[in-house]
Parts: sequence; C-alpha cells; structure tokens
Amino acid sequence: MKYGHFDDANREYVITDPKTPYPWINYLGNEDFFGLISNTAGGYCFYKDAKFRRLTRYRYNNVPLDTGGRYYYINDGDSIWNPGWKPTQTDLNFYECRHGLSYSKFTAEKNEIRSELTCFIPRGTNAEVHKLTVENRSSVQKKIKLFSLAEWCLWNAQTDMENFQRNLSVGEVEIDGSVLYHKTEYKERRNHYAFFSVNAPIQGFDTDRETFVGLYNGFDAPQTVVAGAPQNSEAHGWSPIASHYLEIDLKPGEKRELVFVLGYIENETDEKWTSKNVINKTKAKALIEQFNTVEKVDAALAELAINWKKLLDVYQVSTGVEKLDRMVNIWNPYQCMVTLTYHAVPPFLNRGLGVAWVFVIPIKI
Amino acid sequence: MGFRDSNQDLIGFVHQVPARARERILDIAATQFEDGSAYHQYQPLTKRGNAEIGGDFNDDPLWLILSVSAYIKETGDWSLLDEQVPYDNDESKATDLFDHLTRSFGFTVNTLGPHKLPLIGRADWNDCLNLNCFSNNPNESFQTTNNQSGRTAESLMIAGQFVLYGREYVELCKYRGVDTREAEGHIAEMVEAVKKEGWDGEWFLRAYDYYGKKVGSKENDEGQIFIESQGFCTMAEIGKEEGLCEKALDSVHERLACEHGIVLTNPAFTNYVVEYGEISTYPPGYKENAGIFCHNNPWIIIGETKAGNGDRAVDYWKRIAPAYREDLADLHKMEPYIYSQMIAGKDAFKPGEAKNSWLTGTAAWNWVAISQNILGVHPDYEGLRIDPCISRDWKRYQISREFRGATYLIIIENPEGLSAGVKRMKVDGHDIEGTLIPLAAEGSTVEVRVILG
Repeated sequence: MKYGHFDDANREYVITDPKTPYPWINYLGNEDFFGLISNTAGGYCFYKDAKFRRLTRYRYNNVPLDTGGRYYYINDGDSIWNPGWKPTQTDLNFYECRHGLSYSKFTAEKNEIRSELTCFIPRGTNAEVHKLTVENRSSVQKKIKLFSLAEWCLWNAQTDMENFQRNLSVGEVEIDGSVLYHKTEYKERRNHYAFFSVNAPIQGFDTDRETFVGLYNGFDAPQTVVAGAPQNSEAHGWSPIASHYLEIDLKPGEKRELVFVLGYIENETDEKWTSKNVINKTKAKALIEQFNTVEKVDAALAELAINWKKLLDVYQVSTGVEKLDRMVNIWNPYQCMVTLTYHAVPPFLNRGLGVAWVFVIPIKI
Repeated sequence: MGFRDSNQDLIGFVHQVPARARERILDIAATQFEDGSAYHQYQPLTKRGNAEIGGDFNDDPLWLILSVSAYIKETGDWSLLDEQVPYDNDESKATDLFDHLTRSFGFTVNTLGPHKLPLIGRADWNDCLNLNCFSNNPNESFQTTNNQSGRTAESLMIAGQFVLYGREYVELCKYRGVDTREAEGHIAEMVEAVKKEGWDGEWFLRAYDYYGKKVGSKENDEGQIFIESQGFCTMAEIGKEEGLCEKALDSVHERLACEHGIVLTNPAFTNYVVEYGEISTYPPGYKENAGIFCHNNPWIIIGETKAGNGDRAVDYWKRIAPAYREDLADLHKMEPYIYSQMIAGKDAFKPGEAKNSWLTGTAAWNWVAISQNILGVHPDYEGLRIDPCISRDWKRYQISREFRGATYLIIIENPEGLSAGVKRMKVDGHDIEGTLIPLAAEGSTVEVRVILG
C-alpha cells in the first residue's frame, strides 16, 4: 500500500499515514546546526558534531523504534494527542507530514482542533525553529492545555548513554520566564549551553524528566500531561528536560500561532556569567528575538526555499515522465547535498553514536 | 570521513556548490601520503588523516583524479591544479595539486602484483572483500586486521579504475603540456593485463586472492561473478573492440540483474570463506553478499550507456530509483524519495527489502548516471557535451542547465526512436559540428536543439 504521495510543485513528499513501514525521515540544517526528523517528529539535533555536541537525547534501536523527538502534547479536555501523532498515537481525524527541502511540516486534526507544526533550521542559525499553530475549527469555545517536550542530552552522545555514575548527578538547568536553559557542565569546561523558548508567557514548566513523565509512565502518557497540570520542577541531576506549559483559549474559528526555538549558544570564557551561577543569556535572547514573530519565521522559511531553488535550478529536466523528473529535479540532488553535509559532520569513521544516522550504523557509504 | 567516500560524494554536488567542492578536494588531498597512497579516513573537524585506520585501501588514490576532473569540468577553474597541498598534512612537504594526481596515478603503477594487475591491499571499494585478512576472531575488524598481509591479491576493479581515471589524468596532462607517453604506456599495459589475465571467458574476473587463485570466476563454486569489475572495466571500455564489454554486460544481465536491481555477486556465499573475509559473513542476499548495492548499480548503468544500450540503462536505473519503488512501500520499507544503500538481493529471505537510506554514495553515482550518461548533458573541460543514451521510446525532452554562468536550454528530439547518437545540433539556430556546445558568455541564455539520428 502507499503511505503518501509526491507533491512536485511544492517539492515535498506528503506522508498521509503515520504508520510508515519504517520511520521516514528528513534532514534539517546545512551549515553548523543539524537536525534529523522523522515523519512523527522523532529524532534529535546537534551542533557541528553528532557525538560531542548533541543537544537532544535519542535512544537508538528503541522500542518502539522511533521514540524521542520534538513533542508537543495537546490536552483538549477530551483527548491527549500530538501534532505528529507520536508519542501518544492517539487516533487523529487528519494526519499529514510534509517532508520538504530542509523542513518538515506536520498537520493534524482532532476534535475539531487543527494543529500545524513546521520544523526547520533557519540559514545562519544555530537553532531549530518550530512554528506551531493551533486552530479551533469547531463552533464552540475550546480550552487547550499545551505541553512542549525536549529531552536534553548531556552533550556527549556516547557517554550520555554509558556513564551513569556521573551523569545522574551533573544535570543543571536555569529557568527564565518562557526560556528553559540547559547548562550542564557549563560551570566547568564547557563554553556552551542550550535553550528551549516560546514567544509567549507560559503558565508553567517542567525541567525534571521523572517529575514530568513519571517513573512508571512513558512518553506516550506523561503524568503531568495526563493530569493537565505542570509541576514547575527544577532539575538537579537525573535527566533534565525542557517542557513549557501553555493554556490556550480559542473561540470558534480562532487560531493561535506560537514560535518555539531550540537553540545553541557559545560564550567566551570571560563572558560566561552575569553573576554567580547565572549564565550570560545575551546571545540567547538575541537569537530568540530573531524569530519572535510568525512573520520573521515565515521570512526565514522563504529564504530557505529561495536557496534551494537556486541550487536545484542548475539542472532541471522535463521529460514528461513524472517519476524521472522528480528524481532528477528534486530528490536526487537534495540527497546529494544532504550526503555532502552529513558525511562531513560525524567524526569517528561514520560509525556508532557519532553518526548522523537516526536508526542505523553504516559501515560504508 | 572516508577518502574514497568524499571524492565520490563530490561528483554529486559539484554542480550545486562548486566552492565547497574545491575546499573539500584540498582537504582530502592534504591527507595523501608522499607515495600517492592515502589515509583511508580523515577527521572532518581537524582535517587530519586517521592514523588508527591508516591506509592500504588501494583504490583510494585514484578517486582523487575523479573528483578533481569533475570539479574542473564543471567550473573551468584550472587554478585548482596549482594549489600547494601538503602530504600527510605536513606543509613542508607540499606540492601543487597536479603533482598529487601524478602520485595517485603513480601509486597504482608502483603497486602491481604477479599478473601486473593492481594489488588490492586491505580492500578496494568493496571493503568487505578482505583478501589479506584471514580473521578467525569475532572481535577483530575485517577492515583493519591483516593477519597475512601479502603481495599477491590483485583487484580487477582497481584495474578498470586505473584505466578509466588514468585516461582522465592523461587529459589533464595534455592541457598542462605534460608529456603523456609514459602514462599512456602504463594504461595500455593495464588494458593488456586485464584482457590477458582478467578475462574469464564471459565476464571480467573480480580479483586474485592471497594464494593467487581467481575470485569471481566460473571456476569458483560461489561468487562466480562480481559487479564491481564489470562496472569499472565496461566504464573504461576495456576490450570493447573485441566484444568483451558487451559480453560482460550480458553476463551481468543474465546472472546479477533481478527485478529489484543488480546484485553484487552470484551465487551468494553460503559459507564463511576465511580468505575472502567479511563478504562471506552476511547471510545470502544481504549487504555485500549478493545484496543490491545501489552505489555500484550506476557503474553498470554507465557501462551500458557506453555500449549504447539506453533501454537497459534506463531499465536498471528504474529498478533502484526510489520514486519507482513507491508502490512497493511495504516491501521496500525505506523512504520512496531517497536512495537506500542496499536492497536485499534475489538470494535473500526477503528480496526487495531496503536498508540504510540517506547518507550513501548511491546518490552521487546515480546523479551522474541519470543526469549525464542517460540524459546526456556532460560537463566537459571546454563546455557542455551532449551525448544522451536513452530509452528508445523517449521522443523529446528538455533540460535547463546552468553552467559556468550561462543558462543552456537544451531540447533533445528523438524522431527515429533511437537510444544514442547525435545527428545534428543547433546552437542559437546555427548548426555546429560535433557534440560540444561552445562556452557562452556569463549571464547569457543559449538555446540548443539536438536531434538524435
């Protein structure tokens, strides 16, 4: 059977059934910041080096296979569901994932609430930007509780999965309004931290994984999401996460647009702090401001498209054979560019956790 | 990052981002050794060769000739050859890049085995055909263990590669005014060695093993024919006049091709062969053991175009091109918009099942096969050369190609239903001789009309 179709005009592959025979993925980012994203919003991101500078955690060969990613939970009072179907796997009235050139867009609908999530890495930017739109398509008022979730990796993707006698004690975060910072090891040898922000006031947060998820729950049913109440936890060791909580009231036909930014910041040694234990957030704030409106985000998306058009215009064929034309005009050159970029990223012989492959470990190309 | 991988990736993206290709070439070449051999892997961040893995993958040096010639053909930037590039990252040993290519070529010349064919070293492109390894310890790496390093195992794939890229080197020499007689002599000797020692009767041998026995011969019980040497020897058109290429390609069609693509070898190995190494560790039909490696299928496709068999070339391409496999999604499993590294071959438990999508040299090689050899727009040193080899039922198609600052709108017509052969070519309304479009001024748009016949 088919799980989707090509949309050649938009240069996208449109997945219409989330249960693909394997996670069907896309690559975001072509410069210094990189992300891998599946058709259910699974995956991870990293800065330059997939092993040594991993921002978010990903468990390879997991069960279910593709678990962990950029997750948004919508608790609409009746159901709990995700814009990318996973991890709740709640039946949706509509699901669509459009993998485009360096972006992925998820559209979902449940209980007459429509969500649209667009994930990409703007050019020249060390961050993933997630534009999330929630729309009330019903004739009644809707009250939505929205939870975001990113699970931090303790930077080194390999020791993150091994050295638990240390790992479980080192996690540190800072919370500043709508920005949740991850600063593990920043006070010693690291000159970098990560953050997850949203361009709206939040009504709560969690930064400790076990508090948010619950030790006996999975990502499919985090206890705070089920309860519909954040616990404003501050992580000390264990497993730091970033989860925003927003209450959204939507009148019939009303739409709310939010911009989340998951970013990476480096500071010079003498500029790391603003006061004791308080990290210097100047660059983070500047980055967040670059994408604090939907207009700015859309402009960055348009810039991405212009760049791809320029790259693909070098060779365009028209044979009238649809499948041939789309391979030559879109997907083959796209894969060539992704391979160029991501073959260069991993150190350590294209093997193991250093590799920018989501699910498998290649031996040769 | 691998020396051979990076050079091959480059042929897929040089037309999109030539500046990155140039930088990449200089980085890669700086990890070459003074004798022309190369670190098999290098660290992209430090740009240094990886000493733990070392070298001795004897196909490596020749790939540099491929990437450099592809870059110059695309850009016309000959200054690349004059760049000073170190050996083993030691600036004190730098020479110009052209000299690196001379040493790449020379490495093979200086590394021949008993049949005057290139020694394979630890492995060539097929890094699971480990003819100097002999491992009985499951904790050893097949790629880095040489228990019985010898100077007998030879590769017919490298022989084909040497002839193909050696000729490219000779072209570069001519442009630089360097005497080519010696190089041409070495190439002619290699062609003779392949014909004499590398031909099995119906196809090209794959190798000679540590004991000097044939690999990929009808004399073997399993692994009688391999794809890599058929690909490289037919791309290099070795023995074409005598009909060897046609025979080899027919043997591929008969023995290696199946509905999901062309398998790597046949029959698949059913036992572990210690003198062959990792290839025989996989279950039949998977990975190097008779799986369909989408990376090397284009070598056959290009070989078919050089023999003028457009229908077969296009047919092979369609078998592995993901958009054509969309309806097989439950079997194929991987993305229908992206090439996978491997599709399970006809001997597998589940033929047609793909694995390892995205980061694979498959993308680059298929790009070259379809955009250049099939559709027929070849970047060349002095302009775009038009030489398609298509399905006979394609009547007309057009291509827009940006090349060195100008845009070429190329319409190819095939009124007689042929596969190949340019009868007539008009550039901006004027008939021209040959198949090379003269270079146009930057910013200009050129209309090209091509009639096959």
